[in-house]
Amino acid sequence: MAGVAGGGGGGNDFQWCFSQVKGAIDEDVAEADIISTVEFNYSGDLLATGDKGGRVVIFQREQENKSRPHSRGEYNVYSTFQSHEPEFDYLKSLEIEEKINKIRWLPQQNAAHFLLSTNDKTIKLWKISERDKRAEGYNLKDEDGRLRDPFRITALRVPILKPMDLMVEASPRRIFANAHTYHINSISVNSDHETYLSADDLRINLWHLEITDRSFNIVDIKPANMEELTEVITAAEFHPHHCNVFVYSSSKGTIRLCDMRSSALCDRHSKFFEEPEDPSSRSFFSEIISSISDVKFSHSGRYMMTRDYLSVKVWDLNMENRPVETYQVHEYLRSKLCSLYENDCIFDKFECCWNGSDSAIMTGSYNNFFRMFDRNTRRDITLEASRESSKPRAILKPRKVCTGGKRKKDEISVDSLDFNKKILHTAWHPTENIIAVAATNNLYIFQDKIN
Amino acid sequence: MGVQRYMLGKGGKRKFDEHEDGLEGKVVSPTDGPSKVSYTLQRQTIFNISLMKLYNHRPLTEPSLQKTVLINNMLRRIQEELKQEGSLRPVFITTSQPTDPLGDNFREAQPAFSHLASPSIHPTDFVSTTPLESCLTPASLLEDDTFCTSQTVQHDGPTKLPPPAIQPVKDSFSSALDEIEELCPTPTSTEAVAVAAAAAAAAAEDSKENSSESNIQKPEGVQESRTSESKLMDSLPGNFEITTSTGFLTDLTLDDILFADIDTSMYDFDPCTSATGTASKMAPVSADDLLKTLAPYSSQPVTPNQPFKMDLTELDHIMEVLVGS
Repeated sequence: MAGVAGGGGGGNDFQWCFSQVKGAIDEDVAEADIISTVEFNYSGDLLATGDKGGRVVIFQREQENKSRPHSRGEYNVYSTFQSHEPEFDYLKSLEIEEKINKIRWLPQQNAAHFLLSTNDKTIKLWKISERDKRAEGYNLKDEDGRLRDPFRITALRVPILKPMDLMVEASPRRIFANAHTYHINSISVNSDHETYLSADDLRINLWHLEITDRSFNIVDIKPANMEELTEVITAAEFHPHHCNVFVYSSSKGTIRLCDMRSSALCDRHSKFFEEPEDPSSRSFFSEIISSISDVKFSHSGRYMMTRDYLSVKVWDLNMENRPVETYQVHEYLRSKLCSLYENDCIFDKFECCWNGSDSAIMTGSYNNFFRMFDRNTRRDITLEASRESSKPRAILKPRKVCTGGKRKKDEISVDSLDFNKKILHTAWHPTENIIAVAATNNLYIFQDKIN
Repeated sequence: MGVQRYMLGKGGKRKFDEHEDGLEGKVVSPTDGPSKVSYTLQRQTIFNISLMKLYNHRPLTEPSLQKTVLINNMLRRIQEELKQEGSLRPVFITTSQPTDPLGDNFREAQPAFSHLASPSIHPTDFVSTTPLESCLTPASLLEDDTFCTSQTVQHDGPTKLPPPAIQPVKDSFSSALDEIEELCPTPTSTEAVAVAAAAAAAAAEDSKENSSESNIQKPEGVQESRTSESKLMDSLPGNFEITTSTGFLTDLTLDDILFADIDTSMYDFDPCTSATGTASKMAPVSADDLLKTLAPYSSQPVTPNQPFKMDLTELDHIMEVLVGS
């Protein structure tokens, strides 16, 4: 069965297989264990997840084992740490959730790894480093750490490095706090590797990675009278190559591209992307389903992709009046919008991602389904992240939702979809066909089949 | 979060339902003849749902600004549409205080409403098990000085969030399914049921327009008069900041609200309180709404349901500082 290819090729017959699943099997899911973000690092060797309990778990890919060619580098736990704790805002008498909204890796510059993690209010820069040696034979202190009496020291010696069990330490190096009145929805590291942006509902701030007590406000859409507020910022990202360019999306389905060279406050956009509304599909929920939940530049920097409630759109940065490609994720939900509004599912924020070569895109749906679209062949596939199809190297079977009429075998009807099983967060390895899919509290890793 | 596990009953066969189409399917223009009614019902239902979302949510954390903005836009759009149509007809489903010992006062106002509706349908039946929070009209909650203390929370809330109020309404809908069969022959979906309920309310209220006006002199008059409704429509509150704009109920004086015997025990927010303790405290929506429109604080972007809380905790802090404790 043909699947969607990624990586270097494109368009060949291709199948996705189960590789690993992380997380408890328990039916009873603790809220704190729900995964809220997934991100590969630049090399793909590290995979980070954040959860609602404020924890970050980093998986590292094992070196390929020649004796076991099929297990092409499994991901195992490398480091776990508590990134954010719940806080209390005394002024407003409200809790500040410790849920990790986003994790973004910094490009690796030395032996240590750095990542930014953020909750609603505070961004933290974490350093993850390995320690496999320790020094013995200090002059001023004993082996157990007690200070020696300096008058008793008669000879000097040079401490010796001795090997020890590998220890992975995570330490917070910077804490960027008190810069956001509203909830942070995005962070994005600049291509200059020195600055990054953080965006909340109404403002975007520019930070220097070394400086925590100052940030520059580069976008501010807060109206003078809050009663006039009709639009919020939903996502923002720096261009992958041009360090002066970034985009931000809104709840009205628009994307603004800004150039920081033009002015200090980028309230006036350089480009404005909006697709005119299709009058035949107008409904009460048109605005809500047009709200963009995620925006991602392609690796090439020539395109960007936006996710709204029912579709994924690919935009050419040179064409503002409409997207170049539109993919329907779950059009069968269009007739259910009132119910989805009632139960709040219509506000679910799905993310989307590109593969390494920008030839394929992926996004999640309900019932633990996720969808992949091949941009070249225009083929699409629906797969499911479930324990049932979790046998090692088992090939994933394409799924289909029956929209009406007679339900064929193996199809699932719209009314049987489980709307509590939503796949909001997915990630694609930067160079290979390995994907990470977060299904509530479980992390699924799928790989392409090695023929 | 998501209320239902599945869209509809698990494994239930679905019948082709024309009415579901009318609610969610194709676009129905207001000018279509026979479908004008279903468009209006659709709009009413969505309006009611939107209001409930805004005023019944009682989170421990700040509600999502994006969600609030989108719901607000929805309400404003419908409000604009209604204004353009030129008719400020009642859009609220009638609600009641089913467990209120002072219900007599409310029921007094009912006859004007109920006798015009189909005899087998009584609006209060729909919401007979509705807890306080799902009442749609803040006005309806102003029962003298008992609105804070007399109502008991009817659900055992979960530790974090109280269940969305729409849930109990649905239960009562399904129990009243037989009664509304007349209006809606194949109510196989909850939306159709909601539509039918709204239809009953709308049908009755349509006729009510021709009946004598009832003014809200006493707070317990739930049957909004057209005048108060028009004020309601005119002043959809800004939900983002406390303002001093005209409130819902201009017939009430400040004294009625400010100096009424208000039980403030729920606002003693102790961070050490267990979440269940917090959830079991009551949530008089009306107090929040009124105080929001009347409170002097206008500079801070406080969420709509927390203004009173903020006032009191701020006062507490100030008092502590002054007393030096």
